[in-house]
Amino acid sequence: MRKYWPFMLLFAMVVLPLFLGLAPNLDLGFFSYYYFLNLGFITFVFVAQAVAWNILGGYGGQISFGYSAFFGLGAYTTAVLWGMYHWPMVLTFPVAGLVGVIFAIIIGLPTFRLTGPYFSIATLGIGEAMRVLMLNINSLGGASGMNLPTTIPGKMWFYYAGLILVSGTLAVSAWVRQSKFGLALFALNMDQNAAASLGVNVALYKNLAHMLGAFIVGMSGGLYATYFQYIHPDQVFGFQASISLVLMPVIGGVGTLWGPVLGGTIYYFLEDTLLSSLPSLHLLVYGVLLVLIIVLEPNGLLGMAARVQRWWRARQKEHTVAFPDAGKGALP
Amino acid sequence: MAYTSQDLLTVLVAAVLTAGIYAAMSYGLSIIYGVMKIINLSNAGVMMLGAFTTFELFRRAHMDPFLASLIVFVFYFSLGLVMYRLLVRRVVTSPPISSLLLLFGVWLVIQNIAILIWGNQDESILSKYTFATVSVLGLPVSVTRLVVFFVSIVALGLVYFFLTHTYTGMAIRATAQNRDAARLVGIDVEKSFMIAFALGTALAAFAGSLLSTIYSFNPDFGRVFQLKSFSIIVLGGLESLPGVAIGAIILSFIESLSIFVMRASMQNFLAFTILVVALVVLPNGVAGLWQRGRG
Amino acid sequence: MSWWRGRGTTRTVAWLAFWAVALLIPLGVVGCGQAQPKTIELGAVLPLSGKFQSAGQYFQQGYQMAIDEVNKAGGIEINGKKLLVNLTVLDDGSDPTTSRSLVEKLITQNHVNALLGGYDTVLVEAQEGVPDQYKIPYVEGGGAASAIFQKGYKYIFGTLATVYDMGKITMEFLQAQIDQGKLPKPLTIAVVWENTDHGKDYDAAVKDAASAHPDYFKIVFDSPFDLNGSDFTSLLTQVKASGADAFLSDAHLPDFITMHTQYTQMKMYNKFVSYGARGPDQKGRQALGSAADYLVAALWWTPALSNPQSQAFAQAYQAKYGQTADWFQAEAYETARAMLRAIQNAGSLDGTKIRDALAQLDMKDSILPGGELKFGPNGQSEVPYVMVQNLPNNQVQVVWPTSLPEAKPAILPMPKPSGK
Repeated sequence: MRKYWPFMLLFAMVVLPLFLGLAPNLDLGFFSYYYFLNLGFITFVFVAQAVAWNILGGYGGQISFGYSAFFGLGAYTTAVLWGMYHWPMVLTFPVAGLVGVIFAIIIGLPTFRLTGPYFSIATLGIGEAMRVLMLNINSLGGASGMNLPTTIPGKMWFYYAGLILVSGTLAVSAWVRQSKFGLALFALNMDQNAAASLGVNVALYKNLAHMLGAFIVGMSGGLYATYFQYIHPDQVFGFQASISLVLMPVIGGVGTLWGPVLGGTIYYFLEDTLLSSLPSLHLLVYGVLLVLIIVLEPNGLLGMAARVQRWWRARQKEHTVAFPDAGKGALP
Repeated sequence: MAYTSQDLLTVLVAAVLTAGIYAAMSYGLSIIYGVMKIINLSNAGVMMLGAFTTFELFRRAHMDPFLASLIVFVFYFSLGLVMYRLLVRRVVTSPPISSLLLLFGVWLVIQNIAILIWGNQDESILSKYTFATVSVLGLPVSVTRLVVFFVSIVALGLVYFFLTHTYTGMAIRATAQNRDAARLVGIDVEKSFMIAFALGTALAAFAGSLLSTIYSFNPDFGRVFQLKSFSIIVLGGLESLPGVAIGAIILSFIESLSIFVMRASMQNFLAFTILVVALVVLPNGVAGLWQRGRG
Repeated sequence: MSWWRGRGTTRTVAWLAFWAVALLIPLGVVGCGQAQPKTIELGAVLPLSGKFQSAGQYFQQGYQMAIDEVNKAGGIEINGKKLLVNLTVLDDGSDPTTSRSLVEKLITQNHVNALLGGYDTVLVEAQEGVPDQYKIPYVEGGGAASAIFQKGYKYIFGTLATVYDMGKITMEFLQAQIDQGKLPKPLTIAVVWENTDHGKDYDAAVKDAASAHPDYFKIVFDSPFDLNGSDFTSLLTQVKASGADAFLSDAHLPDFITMHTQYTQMKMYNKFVSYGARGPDQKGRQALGSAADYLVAALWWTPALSNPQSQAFAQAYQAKYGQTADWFQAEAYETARAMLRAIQNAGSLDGTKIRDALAQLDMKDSILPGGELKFGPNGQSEVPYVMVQNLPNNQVQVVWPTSLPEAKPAILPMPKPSGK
């Protein structure tokens, strides 16, 4: 039974809005129906991105600060195809993903050949470069941003679209984790040279993981754009977008399957409930959390939960040895 | 439009002075990377703190901003020592992801504490130097920019002297080349790391302090500069101090001259493009190219 | 490394989540129940942290002042009963995604009756998709781009005149100065603008005026620049080389300071210099000292306006917060006042009725230049700008429009800096 709980969680996410929808005007105090759909959609989109980031960043240990480039390109692709060329909305999402993939190849091919943190350094500038570039392309709105059609499906549609995106992403991530591909990523994370000498095509796997992440983030960018109906380079290519993508997996537990989900949910939950009424503490909280996590528990909240669990078990049966590897992520 | 040779000269002189600014803000980043192989993402935050410390010394103690920058240097050297002991020490041997994220977190903390203290407003220092100019080749040249330019050359010389002519400096260089070998010959590697990190931090704050005499600043100060610094140290080959100077000159000249062929609003795009292109084409920087040429 | 390796941990987390939800749902059900409104709920999502923090705080102050005034007078009469007004402000950290999400929260969670806008065009544009969905009226004073009002939203109103109008009034002012012989005819102009919606609107207005009056204006240089530039020497060299009489620049505060510092250091001189809305800002004057003297600026409001409402507001603000009011606070105050007045006129908390009252609103005691506030068919107001000139010793002089009693002739061409 135990390993079926993700499906139970999925089931709960599927039926909850239907259940709440029976009485859409009922006010539950801490969340109402429409608000639940809205927060649900936004959380799904960003959790999907965090899970996607985690494939290269967590499993493969290649930190990218430039995923906002894929997000923004996806958003703009959808805006152009749907808004200007009147494609059917849903068809634009895979194309948005593909544009992200192409960009990932352009960035990845040269930088992944090099060992060392060159990739991370390069990605620091990529989102910013794209932002400045888009601000200057007047045919795509330039600094005015782009407006999308306002004829969009209802909130329920977006909720389920987001749910499909995040479930699909999790399935992909779970598959990668147990596949040969995933093993190669873990190997190159631990010791790139050793992995290479054992015949792992390091650059190939890095590029594949990068492209996979880019595809998902690009699609989510497209979905986000249709929900928002308005995009601006500062918004979709902003540094903030890249920062939150790094923060979510790290808080939850980098390199684990469910860490980004936990981190992303907490991130948006915190953002929405606590921090919106406690200004000035916004990023300070995350900064402190980040420092504490790296110094005390590099496996994030999941790692902390595992610790608590080990401690609990050890206390219960002091004569048995607690399972030492439980919850260990990819970080050594 | 008619450009006189005077105009071209103005732009060239400005480019040289801007190169001085760029070099000053990149030394710290380069030293820390060179010795510890750590990308110090908190560099921008420390620069900002340096600027605000100078601002406070100027506003409350009416101190000369250039004198204040020396105090800032000493103060942030000690802060660098503390930061190293408390935090950075734990991640020196971990994979790069840990140090990247740790220092990124430190940057977020520094920035947001600054917002709590000073608010998110633009501050600036209006001193007797702000509008002072001297005549160079018949052109009016800002005193503040000129001072920053010369200080960055002097700082390069002093740091270079420290690294090549003192025992600690040589120990740091040995650590940078091969930390295991250095440990074998009895060098206190830990101490080298600590001093290198403190020196890098102090240089960043010093640069922020100098820049506060030229620009207005807020708690987000330094972010754009930080990205430029990355381009510069990559151009310079990541580990060599003279390389930083060369990288600064290249970036500054490309930026200044680009305006004659493209929109001024594309200037920042150039810096980032150079970053990526340089990484790909010249992974060892311009200095590496030169060494390769020599055989 | 199969993924269920970590099941022990993940199971714990799942159980925790399960119990959290299980315990919270009954709590929420207990807390529900509809009651008669006891207060009028207003909501606003403002950038109280992040890059627009200071503006966000000014807006909060302005909103609160207008609401305090109404509450002090006993509130607003709704269905024969006087209700007090309550304002809920949430912080979006200057992030558009959060901003929009929190507006939804205000409507669906806090059940606000009406919304006041955010600050900066990008954040306003992120928020503006929401109010129409729920038929909740929204008045903003923080986004001036004309694009906000071109999408056909019915519940969005704006009190800021467009940046296009800012460029336009600057050009009208220049035309009058040319007629008076203070500036040469035709006037050669160099215009530079930050590459944002703000800058684009400004540039468009300058260009339009120049093509409408080729006998008056000749644009000899036109270029955008990137926000937060470190060195404007190349740009300014081009301005200098163009030999323009007038130098127009549309910049935010940090770029204004950096650019004008370099302008002064390069010993440049133009007969007329304006940085759009920048000039009288206290931060700018502290940074630039006498170099900021004689700059001309177009503003939405200035404490130099002599009408009694403006003076009363400026004094009340000074008394409450101990500093000089800027246009931010005045605009926010006026935005909240427009909303409160509309609620009063509607006599109801129904969103559609308030919306209709806003569309018909005609506020004759406005503190904005011109003294009257009403909204056009697209929801945007057409309040005139006021032009001011900086004078030495931190003085500010209203110079345009001449219909204002306090307006005095501008000192043009700008005096050359002495000595240096």
